[in-house]
Amino acid sequence: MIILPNECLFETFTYLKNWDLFSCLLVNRQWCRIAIPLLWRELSLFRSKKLVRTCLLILNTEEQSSLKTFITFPNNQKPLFDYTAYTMVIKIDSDNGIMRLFENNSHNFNFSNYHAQLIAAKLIRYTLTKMFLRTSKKLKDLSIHCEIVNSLLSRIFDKCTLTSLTLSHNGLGTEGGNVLAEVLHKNTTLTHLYIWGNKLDSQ
Amino acid sequence: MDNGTSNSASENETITLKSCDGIEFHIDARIANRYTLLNNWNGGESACIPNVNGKVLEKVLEWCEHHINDPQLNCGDDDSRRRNTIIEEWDENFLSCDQDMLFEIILAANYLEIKPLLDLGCKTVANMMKSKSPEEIRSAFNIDNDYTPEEEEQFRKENEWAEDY
Repeated sequence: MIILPNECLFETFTYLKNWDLFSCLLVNRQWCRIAIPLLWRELSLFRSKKLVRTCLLILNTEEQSSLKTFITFPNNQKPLFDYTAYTMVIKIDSDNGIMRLFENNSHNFNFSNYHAQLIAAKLIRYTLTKMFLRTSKKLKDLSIHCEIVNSLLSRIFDKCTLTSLTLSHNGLGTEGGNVLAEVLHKNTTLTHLYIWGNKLDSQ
Repeated sequence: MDNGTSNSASENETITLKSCDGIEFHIDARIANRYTLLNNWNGGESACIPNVNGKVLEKVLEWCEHHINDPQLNCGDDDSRRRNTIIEEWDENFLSCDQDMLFEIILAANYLEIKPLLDLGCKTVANMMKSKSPEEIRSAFNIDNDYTPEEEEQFRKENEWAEDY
């Protein structure tokens, strides 16, 4: 019986779609180690509630505590892999996954009304984005197509692996524009920056 | 006449390769011009290619011969995913051998740095994995499951998002 070496398995896996990679990573430990970096390489972050659920497990204590008022985290449940370390491309475009996660209430969510859910979704989006900036060592391409908090901007621009950044319809406003100008001045790694729909003002 | 191959060897020139079990092949020198690693084993009495036996080398060289006039692609270091898995009919027939032979061809292509044949082999294996459950893949490729049931369940839960996008 001939066995393919890891490098050939890796080559083979590059031809597979996510759902086939999912089967492959469940085959055995060796296949798992090869499939996971490919599976987690490019993410559309908040579209799937299952992905949000896994990402919540990756939060560190500090990040978790910022969400404690409405999420009860299970004790010491850590993911089996440093999944997000392999993420190189992230697209953030909607909170659908987060909102759907609220519906099935697996984390004992605690909300008084829909408005509270929307605020919570925004905070989760912010916290998870922060987590990715902390853990994704090879993050190359980040695009955010919904509102983020201006305080994330300097973290984003500090990420020296980033070469492409899209911040569209973020409502950065004048304040955000000023932060942007300041951090851009220091950043030397970005080669592509797309900012439209941000009401940056004439300054 | 040249069809994109940038070689200087004429059609009648040949080089001699020997498999690890001592079988000699005289091949068109233009093949060795494309896959330059082959030149390492040209000629010399003692120069046989380790790790590749006559049966496999014959297949590999048959493939090279058939594709001798293919345009040479600059395959750079493209590490992106989701490349297409379309395979030409001749290649599909060529690789519809038993699994051991397919794997041996892949190993040889990898060892001899014949990138297009390596890609083709990997594509073929990828097609064999498609739309299968983990259990079906294990039995198709004769692989043991070394997960504990708890571990397998946790990996399933943490990655099941992949099923729907």
